[in-house]
Amino acid sequence: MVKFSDKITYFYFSLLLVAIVALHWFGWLAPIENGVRRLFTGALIKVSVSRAKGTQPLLINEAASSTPSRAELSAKIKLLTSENDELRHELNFKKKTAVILLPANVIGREGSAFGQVIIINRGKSDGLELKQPVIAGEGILIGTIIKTESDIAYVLLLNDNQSKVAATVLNRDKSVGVVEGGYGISLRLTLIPRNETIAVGDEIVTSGLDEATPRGLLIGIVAEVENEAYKPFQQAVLTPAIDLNKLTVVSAVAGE
Amino acid sequence: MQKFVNFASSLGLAAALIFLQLLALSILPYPFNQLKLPLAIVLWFLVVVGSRGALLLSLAAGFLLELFSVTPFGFGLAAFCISIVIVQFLFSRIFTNRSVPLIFLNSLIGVSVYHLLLFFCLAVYAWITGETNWLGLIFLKNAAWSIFLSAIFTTLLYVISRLFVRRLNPRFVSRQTRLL
Repeated sequence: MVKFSDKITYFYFSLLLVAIVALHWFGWLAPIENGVRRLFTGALIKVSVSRAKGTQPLLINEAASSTPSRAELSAKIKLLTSENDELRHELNFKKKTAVILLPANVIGREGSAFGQVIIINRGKSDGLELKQPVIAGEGILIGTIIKTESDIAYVLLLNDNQSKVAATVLNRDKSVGVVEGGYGISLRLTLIPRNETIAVGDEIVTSGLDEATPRGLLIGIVAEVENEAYKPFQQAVLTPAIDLNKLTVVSAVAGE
Repeated sequence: MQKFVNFASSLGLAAALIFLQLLALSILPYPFNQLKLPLAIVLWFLVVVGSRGALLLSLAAGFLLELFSVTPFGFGLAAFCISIVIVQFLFSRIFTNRSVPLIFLNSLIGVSVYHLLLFFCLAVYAWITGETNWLGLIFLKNAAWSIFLSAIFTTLLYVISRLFVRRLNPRFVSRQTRLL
């Protein structure tokens, strides 16, 4: 039997719990929360930078001058060539929009069991918004922002189950499909029409059909094509253009 | 003064736990990064130190964990605290023997209750708002690893602490302690 003094304690404990949650939703705990996050973020950045020095040469100040990889350059060249051909056939053309990149450190991974989410040290106060894409290197898409606080943001990685990105294959047919994550391990390009030809080694970039995601961000390379006769669409297994488990410095695409 | 010192040390310990958890998530490979370090250590704290400090520690650790969680605020905190209360009840009323198998069983129950409560809160949230971002097979898979690893960790901590803390030895009769 629970003693009366224990019941009183449970009651006050529950009251305290409800009070903390209520104060948070009213916004009165925001100064304390932001202060605590800043303390943790500072310490985590130091750890992240020291790990980056040991494993990767890229630091936040060196990210802008990093040499693009062969796959990124190849994808860019193909995209630019095809764009140039389109422009030559049009009478009116639009100006290319510039994007603003906000470099950020990856300070950790999200603590619950819900999949592939990383935390970066940029947030609402830096101009980040929901659904903005996040890239690594010169233009490799790694995920999208799913939650923002004042000084941190949560990024859902491409290989998460919930991640879906509209993509284009840089092949002759310019096939359009959807890149979906698979249990934190794989990437798949699905909904590709069966009559279009996709080959191993084809590069996959964002199609620009998503409102917030600009066109041309490299996603990965086709590793295997699955084209079954009884299925209405074919799909491809992709190799991500970057190791999503070893991210230390990324950039948020903050719009025009 | 003593209460203030206890409160401050709980906060400090909670902050250290959360920092270690965030580090472990970044450094450890899957599935070891599913270990719920704050929950495992608070469960061990409950056994070694008693329920007096564990409840306060669970509140502080749960709050700090919420600051770095993608789920709506309050779900993780409530699940954390309620699971500690349930385990405290089991320790004091049902599984009063501090043997290693029972510590393992209680830890399993504690971490399972935490994940069940979290899943329940998110299911209700999904039903109300229509957002099903967090409900999927990956949650069950990660929860299973988390339950197993956290229970093992708590048990190992308890086994090691039994070598140094006399009253944890089941040869001595355990006595009930009041919450606060």
